[in-house]
Order: sequence, then C-alpha cells, then structure tokens
Amino acid sequence: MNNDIPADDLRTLWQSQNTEAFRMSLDEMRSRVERLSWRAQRLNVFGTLIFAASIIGCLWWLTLVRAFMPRLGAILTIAGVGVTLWQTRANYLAERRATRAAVESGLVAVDFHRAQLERQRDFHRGWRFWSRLLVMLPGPLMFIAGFGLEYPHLRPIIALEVLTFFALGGVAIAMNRRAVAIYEHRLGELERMKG
Amino acid sequence: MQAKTTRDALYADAVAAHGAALERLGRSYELDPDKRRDLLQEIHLALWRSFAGFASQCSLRTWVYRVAHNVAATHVLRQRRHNVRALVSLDALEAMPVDVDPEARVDRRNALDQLHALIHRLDPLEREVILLYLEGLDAATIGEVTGISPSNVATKIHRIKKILAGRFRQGGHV
Repeated sequence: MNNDIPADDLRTLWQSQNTEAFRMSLDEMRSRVERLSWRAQRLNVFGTLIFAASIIGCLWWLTLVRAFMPRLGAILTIAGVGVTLWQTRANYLAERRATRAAVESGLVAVDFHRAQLERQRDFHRGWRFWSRLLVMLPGPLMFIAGFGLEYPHLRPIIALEVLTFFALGGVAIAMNRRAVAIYEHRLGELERMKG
Repeated sequence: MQAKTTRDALYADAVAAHGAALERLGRSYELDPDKRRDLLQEIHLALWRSFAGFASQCSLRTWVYRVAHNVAATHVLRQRRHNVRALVSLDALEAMPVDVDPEARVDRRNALDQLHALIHRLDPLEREVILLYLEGLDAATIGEVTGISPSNVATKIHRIKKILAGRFRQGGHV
C-alpha cells in the first residue's frame, strides 16, 4: 500500500480540519477593549508605584552615607538608575503601541517584522544606548572616589573596583554592538526576501 | 450593490468568509487550547479594530491574513523565551535528517499531527508561507500577503513541497 501523501492531498487534509466555529460578538469585542484598557492603566499605576518605591528605598540608603562626595555620587547613581528604568519602561510601552499600530494597519509580514527589528536594533545603539550608559557613569565613579578619600587604606581595593567598573562598561558596549549586528543580519535577510 | 464600509459589517464579512481559516491559523501558532482561545480573541479584536482603516487597498482575504498572521507572529515571539526548542527556517528544516521507522505508518489520522509538529518548528515568517500554501493560496497571493517577492515565494513553495514529500513518505517522522 502506498503511504505517500502528495502535497495536494495534504492541502486538502489541512483545509478539511474540524473547526470549533470560534465567534466573538460585537458586544464581547467592545467588552474586551474596555478590559484591556483597564488592565493597561492598572499596569501603568503598578509600574509607577514600583519605580517610586525603588527611588524612596535608594534615598533611605543615602542617610547611611555621611561624606559629601560619596553622598553626591550616590544621588547621581540613583538618578542614573531612575533614568535607565524610565527609558526601558518607555521603550516597552512604545514597542507595544507601535506593534499594535503596525498590526492594525495591515502591513505585509516582511515590513511588520522589519519595523519590529529596527525598533529593537535602535534600542541598542545611538543616543538611546549611550544615554543609558553615560548616565550611569558619573555617580558610581564619584561615590568610589569619595569613598577612597574617606578611607585611604582601602584605595587598592577601590582601584580594583574602578577597573571592574570600566571592564563591565566595556562588556555592556560589546554586548550591545553584538545585538545590533544580529538585528542588522536579520534585517538583511528580510530585505533579500523582498527581492 | 452598496459597498459595505462600516467596521462591523466588514468584520462580519471577514469572519463569515475566513473564520475557519483563522481557527486553523490559531491552531498552527498555539497548541495549548486556553492560550489558543486567547490568541483567537486577540486576532479577532485586531481584525475588528483594523477595519477602521481598511479602504480596499487590497482584497478582504489579503487584509485578514496580514492582520491575523502579524498578531500570531507577535504571540509566538512573546512566547519564545518560554520555548526550549529554537524556531528554525525552511532551509534548516530541509537540512534536518528524517527519522525513518520502517514499522510506522503515516496515515491520514496522524498526518495532521505531524504536519502541526513540523509547522511549530518554523519561525513566524516561514510558518506564514507554509500556512498560506496549505490554505490553497497561489504564489502571487502569498507574496501579496507577506511582501516576499514572487521568485522567493516560488523557491519557498518548492522547498515546502520537498519537505512535505520527504516527511510524509512511509515511515517518516517530523
């Protein structure tokens, strides 16, 4: 008995699958839109509360630091973390909005995927990446330098911490450049598909 | 005949004509029944919303497939971090060896299961091409939905036929 299934038969088999007649009434549609909107607002409030609690926690930590330079360094570090968190959250929300707009505009798949990849690539390069990196630079350096002035006998350890800090910065730059290269490669593949 | 231009009317037309295809699409992108229901709701909602901007820039069928596949692709990419197995291209799938079990019989009862398993290995764009092919669309229409050039679509369809022929011979497993 020949058990080969020709491609055309597979198409027929595929199209004759039993389906459950999924339906959504217009009332269900509108109700879901309202629920999604309420959920988005709730997530927004929750995210803002978490952000505020983190900042307050860091500010409390400031009370443990007495000297001026470490205190200023701690404040700059907290500000840097805040900016980075805000930028990451803003990017996440913008990505969701852009994806929804792209879906509902009836874009062809290649353009839809290309737009997503471009947004993800741009998060890892240019001013958006460097602003996240540079905003984290002055705070920790000032904190470490101030700590070194306060406790001279710890300077060898502090020097090692400074080196580690710059090494981590280098790793962050390398990882982001690699991410950009991966996205560029995938964008190139998409362009070749368009012919 | 007066053109139906309201969003609700367009949505009703789309579901009447393509509802079954949307369900098959949902099954191809999500195996879990509860998550599949959520995905279908997302697809229907996105379709309904999208018709506010539909001005017959393409056929209704093309518009439905574009919106539905883009929603489903977003779903797959969101779920990707939970997937242990990486999604692959048609090229990679073609290169994979086929397990041959001389005792096994590929019959119509399990052919669909195997077809689904094969489709679920593919990354979203490749998955869309094979699904549109299985839905009976020709290369030109697949190109119109996906934005892939006709020659690339033809190449992919050729590869799809080869993969299906190789895996649905006697004893073949995906």
